[in-house]
Amino acid sequence: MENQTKDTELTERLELIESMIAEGRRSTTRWAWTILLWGVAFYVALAWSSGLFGGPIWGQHYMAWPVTMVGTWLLNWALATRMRQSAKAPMTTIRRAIISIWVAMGISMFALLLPLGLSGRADQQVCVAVVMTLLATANAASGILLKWKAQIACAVVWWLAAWTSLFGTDTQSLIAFLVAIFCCQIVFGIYAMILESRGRRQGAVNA
Amino acid sequence: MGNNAKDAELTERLVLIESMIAEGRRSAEGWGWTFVLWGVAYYVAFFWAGWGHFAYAWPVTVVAAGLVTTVGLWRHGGNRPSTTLGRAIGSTWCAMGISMFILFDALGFGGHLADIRIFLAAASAMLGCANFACSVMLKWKAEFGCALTWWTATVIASFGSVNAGILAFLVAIFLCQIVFGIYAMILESRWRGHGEAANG
Repeated sequence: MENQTKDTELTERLELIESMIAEGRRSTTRWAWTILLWGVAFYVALAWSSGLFGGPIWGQHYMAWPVTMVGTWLLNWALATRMRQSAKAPMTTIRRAIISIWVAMGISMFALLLPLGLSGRADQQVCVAVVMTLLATANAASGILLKWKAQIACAVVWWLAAWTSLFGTDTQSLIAFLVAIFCCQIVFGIYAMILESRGRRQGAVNA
Repeated sequence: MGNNAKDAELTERLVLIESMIAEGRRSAEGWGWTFVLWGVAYYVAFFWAGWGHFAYAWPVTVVAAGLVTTVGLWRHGGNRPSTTLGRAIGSTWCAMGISMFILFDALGFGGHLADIRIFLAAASAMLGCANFACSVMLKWKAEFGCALTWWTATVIASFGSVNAGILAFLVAIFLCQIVFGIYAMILESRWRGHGEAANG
């Protein structure tokens, strides 16, 4: 009798965790636009820093990355605040965890790359590899937590690209970065947005 | 009436979340030994590589510490029920561990570690990242302090001399792995003491 109660309690607990994970994944797809936004921001920063637009007047080597990243962060913050105010979704444990993982990644990237860039101690390959490894970490942590295979695959792509960057030439490092941004920010972002729109439509039909 | 019910539901939800966070912190305190273990492992690898000039000091020590941790986790937490917060913390450290292993192996074997400060800065930033994420999840100020210490070490390693970078790294290991690990172990032992006293 006691064993049966314990089994029921465990099953209930597992069901609760599974439903929380599903809710966490749904909530993540609502933020898919941020993945896409950052993918575009990376492309803009790369194009600016390599002199594709702007020219020397714009101080491409020093300004491109800090200005683009800070600008994107401000835009992201403003849009996210608006979205939170209109959605009024309650804060769940999984959501807190996901937000904390991505915020931690952002601060770490800033704390590491800005001083390394300003002091001029790290070359392009190292900087690109560090960025990709930190993005892999955040994707892997979120992917494992949400049991989301597509996001775990993104983490693997970032890790492979980081590895390629450190063992290849400067050009190979850049190509690996561009390909990884395309797969893990643009394609994955659009895929998550499609999932979200499907979920919303299903919700509307059920209502 | 509707508002009252909504308030009660929200309060209930908040109480549940707070109790989950408290349970998560108690569970995290149970892993204090892993902080101490990895702190000692970092010291061993650092001095082995520095004085012994052994190229494989870091990979060998990290793999050995990883194996000890796996055995410890298996023995210590095998029968514990999994919680959402526990999964979140586990996934954060697991992802960070894989990332550090891949990045530092590639940095070393790819010949990018001529300046040790790059390694010190990157390692400190990544440990700061994991500590910060967990501290926010658990609302744990002591761990938040560890994250700030690691990030400070990152900035010192990036801007300072080699000696300053090394010193900052060693101090951060002492504070955030050894001292914090022992502190977590003391808290856990207190909790266990309270639990045993309550049970009779």
